[in-house]
Amino acid sequence: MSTSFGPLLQFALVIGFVMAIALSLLIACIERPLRRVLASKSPRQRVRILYGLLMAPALLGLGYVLMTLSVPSLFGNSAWLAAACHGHADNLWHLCLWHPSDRGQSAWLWAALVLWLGYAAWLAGRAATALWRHRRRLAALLRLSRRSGPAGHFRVVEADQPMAMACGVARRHVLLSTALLERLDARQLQVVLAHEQAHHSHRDVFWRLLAGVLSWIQLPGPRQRLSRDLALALEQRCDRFAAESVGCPVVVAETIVTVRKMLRQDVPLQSPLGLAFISDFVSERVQALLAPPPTASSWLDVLLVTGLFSFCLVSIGWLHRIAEVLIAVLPG
Amino acid sequence: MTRADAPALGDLEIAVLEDIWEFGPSQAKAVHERVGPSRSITLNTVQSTLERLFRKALLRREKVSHAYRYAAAVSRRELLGRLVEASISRIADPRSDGLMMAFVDLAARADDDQLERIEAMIAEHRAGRGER
Repeated sequence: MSTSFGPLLQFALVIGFVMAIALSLLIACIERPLRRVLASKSPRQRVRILYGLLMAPALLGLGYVLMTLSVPSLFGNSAWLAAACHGHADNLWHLCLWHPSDRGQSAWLWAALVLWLGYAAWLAGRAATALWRHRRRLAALLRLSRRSGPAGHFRVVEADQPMAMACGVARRHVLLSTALLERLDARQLQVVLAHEQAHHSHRDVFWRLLAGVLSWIQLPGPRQRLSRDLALALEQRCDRFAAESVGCPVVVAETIVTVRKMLRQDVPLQSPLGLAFISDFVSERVQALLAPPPTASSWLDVLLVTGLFSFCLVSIGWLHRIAEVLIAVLPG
Repeated sequence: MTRADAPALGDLEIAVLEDIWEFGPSQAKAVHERVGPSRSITLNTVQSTLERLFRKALLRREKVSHAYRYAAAVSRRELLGRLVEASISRIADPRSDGLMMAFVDLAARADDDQLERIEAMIAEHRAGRGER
């Protein structure tokens, strides 16, 4: 039995979209209690879970689209899949690969899908333009900096503002300003370098960028809160790494306060509305460093992954029905 | 120019700026003689790069005879300062793309009281551990 591509593509896109939205809503429902539970976990585990929560709707939605498109071509002649499809009313556990072509396709649904994809493309274009401008600025900064460290590991920028940052996706760099180098003592500098090296070795810049892009499908509120938690967890993970590196978490806490004070003096800030959003990082990071590190292992991430996949598995039936109803209800 | 509009600069623009910082006020022909051969670029390319830098307010110019003489409008340190501030502001933006991870992000606007409380907390912790 063959399936023409147009209806199948529409069916796949509808299923993927509905899946992504359903998962976003589910995450929005469990986000607050889950964040409370996460607060007691180690930064390393929080990072893993938060990346998963931010990226899951888009990735699983995309997975459904690909699966719906590829399965008919792989099992197109399979009798048992066809049989499962004909017994539709009694079989919830199947992808129903033949129905899309039976139902045809809806012009209105295509229009809605094109609008949605167009909006996503516009958002992506806007983000890409901003990223490109920013990347050029960063490239200028790197070009005007000089290599330093044992293997040219970090770059020094001659600037009056204290700054230490890890940057870059493909080619990763750690940038330090001369103002920071001049005003920190050797041990504090070691803290800053260890912290930035930790970002470097975990490829945090790349993963955070990816999570930022893929999480656009989520509701704005939960997305902002989860992103904020992720940013904090990443910093705390690197703080722990720096603490292990210098052998004392208190020195890391003191360095954070010292650098924070330098920034207060030297860099007048703009856009306070944007800044208020993550106003308590210093306090949270210091408190986490002074507290004993969480040692108990937790099965929370395994539990969440199992729950997520169970949800996807159970969703095959109702996703199919929703897609069918949408295609049937909207005029073709 | 404010730090918010710190310019995005291409490779050639940076090379030309660095040349002017090193050799002082120069005409396009002189810049081309120093920067052009290694890059195989024409005088016209250098002229349009100088023009772009002038429009970005990074160079100023005066007419000498029939040609412009370009001089730096900002020092290297000043330009770097602007780029640093623009980058830090970017980190502080919650819509930030995550291209950078700063040691102490500017978003953390702990006020003086809060910083004092945090310092007291650290001191108390040290005292509790019998350190200095």
